[in-house]
Amino acid sequence: MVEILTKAPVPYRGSEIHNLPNGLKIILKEDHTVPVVALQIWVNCGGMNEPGELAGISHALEHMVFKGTPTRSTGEITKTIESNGGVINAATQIENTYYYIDIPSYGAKTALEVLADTLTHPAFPADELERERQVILEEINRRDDNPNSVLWDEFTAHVFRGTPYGKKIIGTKETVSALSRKNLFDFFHAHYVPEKMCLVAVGDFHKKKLWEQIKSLLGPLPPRKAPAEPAFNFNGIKPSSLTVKKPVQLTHLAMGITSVGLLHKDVVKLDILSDILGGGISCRLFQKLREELKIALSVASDYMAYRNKGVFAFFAECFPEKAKDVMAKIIEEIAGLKDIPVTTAELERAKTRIKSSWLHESETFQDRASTLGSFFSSDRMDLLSSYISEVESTTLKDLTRIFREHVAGQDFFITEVVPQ
Amino acid sequence: MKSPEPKFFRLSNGLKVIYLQTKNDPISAGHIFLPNGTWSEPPAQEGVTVLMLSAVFKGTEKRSARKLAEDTESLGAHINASASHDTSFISCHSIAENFPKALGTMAEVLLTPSFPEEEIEKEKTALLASIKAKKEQISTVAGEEINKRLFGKHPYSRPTSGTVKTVPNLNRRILLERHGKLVIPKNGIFSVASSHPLSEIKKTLEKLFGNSAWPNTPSHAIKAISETTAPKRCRVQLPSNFTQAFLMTGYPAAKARSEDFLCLKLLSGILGAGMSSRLFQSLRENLGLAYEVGAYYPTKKGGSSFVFYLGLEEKKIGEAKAEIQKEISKIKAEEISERELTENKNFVKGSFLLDHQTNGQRSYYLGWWEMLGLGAGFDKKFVQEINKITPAQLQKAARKYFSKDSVTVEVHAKK
Repeated sequence: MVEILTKAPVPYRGSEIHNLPNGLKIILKEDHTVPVVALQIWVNCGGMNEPGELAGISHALEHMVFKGTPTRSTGEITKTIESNGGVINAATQIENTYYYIDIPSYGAKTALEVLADTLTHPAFPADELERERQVILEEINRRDDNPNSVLWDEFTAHVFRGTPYGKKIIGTKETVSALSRKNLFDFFHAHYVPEKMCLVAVGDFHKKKLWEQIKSLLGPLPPRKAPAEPAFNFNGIKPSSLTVKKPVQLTHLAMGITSVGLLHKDVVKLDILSDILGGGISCRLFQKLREELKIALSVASDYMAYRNKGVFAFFAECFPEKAKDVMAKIIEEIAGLKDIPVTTAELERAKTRIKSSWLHESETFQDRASTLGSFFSSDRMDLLSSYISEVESTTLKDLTRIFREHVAGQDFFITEVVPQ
Repeated sequence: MKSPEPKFFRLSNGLKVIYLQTKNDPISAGHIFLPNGTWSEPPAQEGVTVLMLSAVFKGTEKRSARKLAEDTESLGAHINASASHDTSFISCHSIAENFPKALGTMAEVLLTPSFPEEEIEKEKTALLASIKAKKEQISTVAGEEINKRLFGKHPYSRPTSGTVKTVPNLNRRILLERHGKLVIPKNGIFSVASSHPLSEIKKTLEKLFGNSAWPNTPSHAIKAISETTAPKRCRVQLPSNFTQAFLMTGYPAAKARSEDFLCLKLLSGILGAGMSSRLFQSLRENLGLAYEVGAYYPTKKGGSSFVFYLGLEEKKIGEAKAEIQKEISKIKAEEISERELTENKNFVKGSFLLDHQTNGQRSYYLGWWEMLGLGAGFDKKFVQEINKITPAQLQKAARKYFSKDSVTVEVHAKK
């Protein structure tokens, strides 16, 4: 049975969603405007699926799948793709991991063979694990030197402490040092199961031919039952402040209130409210804190929504002596929504900004494949079709309710990265 | 699928326009390249170009900074400006239906900025903060140091953002003067990629950027940038508070309009781009020395650099340096195989396609090659010419450039 996205916005309209009998989902969008194909495999397994002692295993696994299969030696995977003009890489997130190849269309058939083989038959050679462990430990050092990475890691760990979302995706030096080849195989077999995976292909290919190739490569994968999702309990996490000292010049600040997750009906409206407060340079916070009061160097907001929970978050950079003022003003501006409600002009501007962002972020086939994959991963394919129309139909009254129900009166989680 | 060909025309003030009409693209884009970058700043005014280009958005004769921000975002547009050593540019990306209006805002900020004193002070503060924040990035610390050593007294040795010494002294008068000298149509290039008909674009651009809006001022003729000179071999060790250490080894390299340009571009791919490059394979995959490793060869008008880099544990710097030298010796001593060459040419070809998917990318490259003096047609020629390169030519280029004195910068980790 094929589902066709007939109501999705133009770049995605006509995308086909197929299901293989083993549970693997396939999303295809044929488009011949550029001779390029984007292939991605999304796996609903990320940092949240790791037991504490294996923190960082999803990310290590993402590195290690490129180290060869029984029929492809170490180095052959990247060599095959790059010598066909493509790029191959992957990214690990809290709820998922995705693997991607962008390649001129003449290399698409080979790329699909490589991607399928890589993600179904990884060899995890023992000597390669030892070498890659050193690379990851260096990646941890590098991350530790980047104030924005530190802020992100510490903020999410702080807000979600004690829950599966509260882990550093890259792991720690201790856990990465202790990972074994057996750990990798066990984790791979448990979580890389067809029902948790989705292949997305966007670009210059012939649907029928590609579909036949997909069936022959991924159809034989046996269905396996995925382990139960980890339990979430957000009760008892009280908002508080965390200060991290680093050799930085500026203060890097994150503030947030916990909110509903991606499955909630109000996610689009929360995106709009977030945009009005901290999207672009005409938004309330930028105008107030940077332009009028001159206390922040940058300020922005983001409604970070995961499946089980979200954070209505604000990020700023400022000179250290201004940090207290910045925090106070962010809180004041948000509370001020009660007395200075959103205007029609603000709402219309936010709608335009969001709609135009959709177009700007859907320009390349890679962008479109990522959007399709992320909506699959969040289990909200429905939102892909309804998102823009919901943006358009949102009213001032809706936003008043959203503010009252999800934002007003809540205390903030605060994380600061400050000079030593 | 046949790719469209760009059209060329000039506005009444001589501004050269390159127009690529694409089909049904939802986003339109345009770039104005001005033939003068930060290289021409007086040393005491370093940073003035970047500051001036950020201040143009902070008010015009007709609109305040806030109104400009609101109106631009209401169009679904992004208008930005920046400068490199060689050029200054302003870009406009917008949803296609609002592109003519967005170009109107682009013209307004570029041609009629009011430079309010208060706004300049704000932008100075932000620029100074960004200069300080560069110390938070180990690769930037290493990169600025190697530029200083490689380019010596040449303007390429200076950071484009200016310094904490020069930026505080900049003021409205200096900005106005810089604007008057820099923002002139003579030798400027306007590249556009959009689905709008050519006739409509011609009319819109003439009205907004033609002689009546932007008259030429030939008195401000610009001389070409001088060529870089070779540095003396040196090794610099910098202490730091970073957890990682960072290593860079660089050689002086050819300018864009050089017969060796494409060979060096291909060499940078073979040695340090992608996961199958020689450096990635040896330093990361075989030795596990680093996460971030590669080589770069920037495209520049007056001379360039060829730099190898990696972030690593301090105790492994010696091993990494030896390995880099091993790879350099190898590429000088042995001709690359036909197979490896073909694979790398394919990688370049693919990267070109992947990098030309959006109107923003197409517009940028057309203007960029033209500004460098290679012509907009070089965008297509690039891949064809790369295809003609032989193993012998590559070896000759490697021997020529990697036999010069090199500069090594080591940023040491915190003690």
